[in-house]
Amino acid sequence: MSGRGAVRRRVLVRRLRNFWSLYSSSRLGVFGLAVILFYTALAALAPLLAPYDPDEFVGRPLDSPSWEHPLGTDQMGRDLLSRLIVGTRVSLVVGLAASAMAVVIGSVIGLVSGYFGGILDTVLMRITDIFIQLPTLPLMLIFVAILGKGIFNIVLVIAILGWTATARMVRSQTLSLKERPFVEAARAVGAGDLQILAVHIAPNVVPLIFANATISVVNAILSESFLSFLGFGDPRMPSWGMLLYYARMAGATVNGFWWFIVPPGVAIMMLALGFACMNYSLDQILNPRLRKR
Amino acid sequence: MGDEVLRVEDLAVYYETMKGTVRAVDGVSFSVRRGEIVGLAGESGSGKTTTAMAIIRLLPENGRIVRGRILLGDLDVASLPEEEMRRVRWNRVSMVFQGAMNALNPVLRVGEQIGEVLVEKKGLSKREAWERVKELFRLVGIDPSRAWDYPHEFSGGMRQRAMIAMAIALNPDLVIADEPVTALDVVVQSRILDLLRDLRDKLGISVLMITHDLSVIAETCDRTAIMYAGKIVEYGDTEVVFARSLHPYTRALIAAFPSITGERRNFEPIRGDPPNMLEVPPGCPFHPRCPSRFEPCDRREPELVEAEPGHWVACHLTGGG
Amino acid sequence: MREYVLRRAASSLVTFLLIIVLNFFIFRIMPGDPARAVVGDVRMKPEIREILVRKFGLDKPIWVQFLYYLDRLAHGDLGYSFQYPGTPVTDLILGRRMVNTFLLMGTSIIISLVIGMALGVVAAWKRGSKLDVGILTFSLVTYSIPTFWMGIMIILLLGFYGKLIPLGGTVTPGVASEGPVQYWLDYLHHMIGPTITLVLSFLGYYFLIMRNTLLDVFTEDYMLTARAKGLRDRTILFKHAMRNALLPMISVIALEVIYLFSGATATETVFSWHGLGLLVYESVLRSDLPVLQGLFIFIAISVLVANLLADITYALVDPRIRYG
Repeated sequence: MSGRGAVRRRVLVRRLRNFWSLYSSSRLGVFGLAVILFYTALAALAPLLAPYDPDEFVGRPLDSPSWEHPLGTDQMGRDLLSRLIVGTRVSLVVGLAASAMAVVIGSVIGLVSGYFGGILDTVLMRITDIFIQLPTLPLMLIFVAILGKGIFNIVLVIAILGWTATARMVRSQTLSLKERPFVEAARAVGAGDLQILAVHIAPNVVPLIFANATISVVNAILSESFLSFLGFGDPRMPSWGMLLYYARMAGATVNGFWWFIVPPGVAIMMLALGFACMNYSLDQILNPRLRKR
Repeated sequence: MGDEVLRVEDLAVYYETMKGTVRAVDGVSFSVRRGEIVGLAGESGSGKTTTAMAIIRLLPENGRIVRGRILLGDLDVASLPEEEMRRVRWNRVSMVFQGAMNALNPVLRVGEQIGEVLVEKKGLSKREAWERVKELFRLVGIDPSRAWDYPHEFSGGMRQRAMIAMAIALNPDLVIADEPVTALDVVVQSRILDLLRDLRDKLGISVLMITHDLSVIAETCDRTAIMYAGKIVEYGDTEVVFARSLHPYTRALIAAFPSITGERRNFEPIRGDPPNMLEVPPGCPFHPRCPSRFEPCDRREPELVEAEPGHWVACHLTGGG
Repeated sequence: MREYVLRRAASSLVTFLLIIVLNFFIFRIMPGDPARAVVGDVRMKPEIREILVRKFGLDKPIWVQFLYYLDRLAHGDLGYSFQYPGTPVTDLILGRRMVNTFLLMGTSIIISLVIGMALGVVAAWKRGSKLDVGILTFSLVTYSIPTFWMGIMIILLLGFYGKLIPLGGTVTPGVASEGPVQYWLDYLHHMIGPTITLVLSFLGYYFLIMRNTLLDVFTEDYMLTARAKGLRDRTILFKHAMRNALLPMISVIALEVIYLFSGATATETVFSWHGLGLLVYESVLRSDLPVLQGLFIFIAISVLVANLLADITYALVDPRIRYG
């Protein structure tokens, strides 16, 4: 048994090394990874890097950028650079949490639907179809109206409406894996459904789930920023979207407070772009339809 | 010879892949005379399709003709600029693709797909082209009224007939048929092959027949070249190659196709796998699978020599090299 | 062909029924008093409350309430708005706001489709060229920009600094009295900003789909035939490749209607464009549940209809189905 474990580990290491050599040759992929690592570091070190306490009134209200406040201040005189840096945490964590939740829901539904088939598959896929056909943003708003404001509800709403693509993809992959010889062999030696799903199918779907998760993060980040921008977030946990909410309250657009508007948007865009680039190159490597080109 | 429509001389085509250079075709020479059907046979990966694609100059992006000449009459197409090559295609050399392929455009009417070459390359009016399409349909044995149909309304055999009609539409000097009957059922296969022979007799077309199926070769080809690992290993009149094969690979191939002679000999698949084209064995590329290999085979590569008039072979047994 | 369309229509009908059921129960899982959910403000006069409770069957079991709901729906009764007291939800949704949203969505979809597809063709034909990589990067970037922020930036740049477009709204108040020509010019002027925003955020998507579909088509066997025939590039691209690539585009456009509703919601809230997206936002702010319920059904039906239309168009265009 330990011998087989060692072989498996060696195969895994070789596969990972192979994957890395492909991934690192993609410029977009390396760029995306660098951006994501940068933001992760920023989020981890946020309290150390922020020049001021983000919640303290440390300057005059609505000051344009200066040496003291490189990104200016908001309507309450809080330092915008500090708020931007600390906001990284909320935006990143909410984006990752929401997409993780969505991907887990989608993967479970996809695996179950694809593996067991039959009436269960029909019902689950019909539900998936409905969810795919519903426009996300207006629906998120409606759900927020029903569930109430708050960061946890935002995560929940994004997850509830964001799992469909993963479910579809995992299902079709499971369908094709189910027919492979090694699954039939496992069944022949008496492995149960759960064991086959966990040992033989799930590990083979993981790479594609991972690729899918990256684009799901992009959607989660963008959705979160919009919901927070509309004021449905938690004022005690200001994300970048929430900064833009305050900007809107201050009439930043019609008064030309550009320093209030531009940095949070660029921050959101760059983080989303990082994940989008990562997704693009993962897709090139892992998607069998694109690979042969 | 003056009546040669195609003469390939020392052709070499390499592919650049992530894992290294693949010498898919390496020093191949043969010819096709007017009104002749010449077979190019071998296992998949032997370089026969690459040879065909090099002649019509549609190699994949990573493929390159590195050496040799491809003479269509007096014109060497190996080095022809793309724009001139475009004019040569179909006018002088046309192609019938694999029957299993989706070679007809699914959203265009079959007649339209044949007619468009007449309009675009011959300058016919739409009306004239349509008349000619009907005539071609009659020639290949399809009811001309079906010209208005879409490909999915045709059976596999009819699609292949339509492909042949398309290939002869401009009276080209040479028709390349790449596995034209693969994936068709046996009865349809022999009808399509009959049609090709008929057309050769009636119109004097010349055909280069690419196939892995020796029974197809036996049934249609005047002369045959057997390819292995990018090289021609035996070449001559089909009857001679089959009756007095000299190369062990040819003999093994024939043994693997009992249907040719109809006898119930105990047929035997060839041992071993086709060579990995990234690491072709040194010496004679066939030596690891060869039942009669001996001392020089894994060191020296045999040259193609004329064993008897018009019968060439590359094997140390026959004294090549 | 007929069978295909009927089958698709039947499938849409099932989805529609499920959406109606979903609509009822989603609004029932809300925390708190279901009477408050449907009737609204708890400070409402008891006698009115009594009338409403009877009308919705709130004192009856949930499945009876569901029948009441179906009955009202069958009569086209979606209730009355809370934020505009006395206005039926149907009037609110199916009136001017719907026109505003559809005009904005229609204009944006056409412009972004034309530009996106043209760029996609060019990029696919010159795959790997500087141009291809450039447009590819551009579309990745626009994909990553939140639509609402793109709108804010456009207001800031074109409206505040450039003084080229109004800062928001659908028309300038009082312009209607200056005559219909003035009115529509003013309307179009207000539409520029939201349209640019939507076009920019959808352009990249159309481009990518067109490019990748074409690249897919290029690998098909019949494309090799077309090249072997020595046809002109133009014939190969527009006759052989485009006709096959346009088929999947039809489905993409239908699916895109879904995202367009999302985009419109973001754009309308930023530009104060008086459409359905803004109505969603306002209704959420004011807990106007009847309107939200009505919008849910309306949007779901619009998407269904768009998809059904796409399927029928597809069947009309694809010979394999038309004569299948």
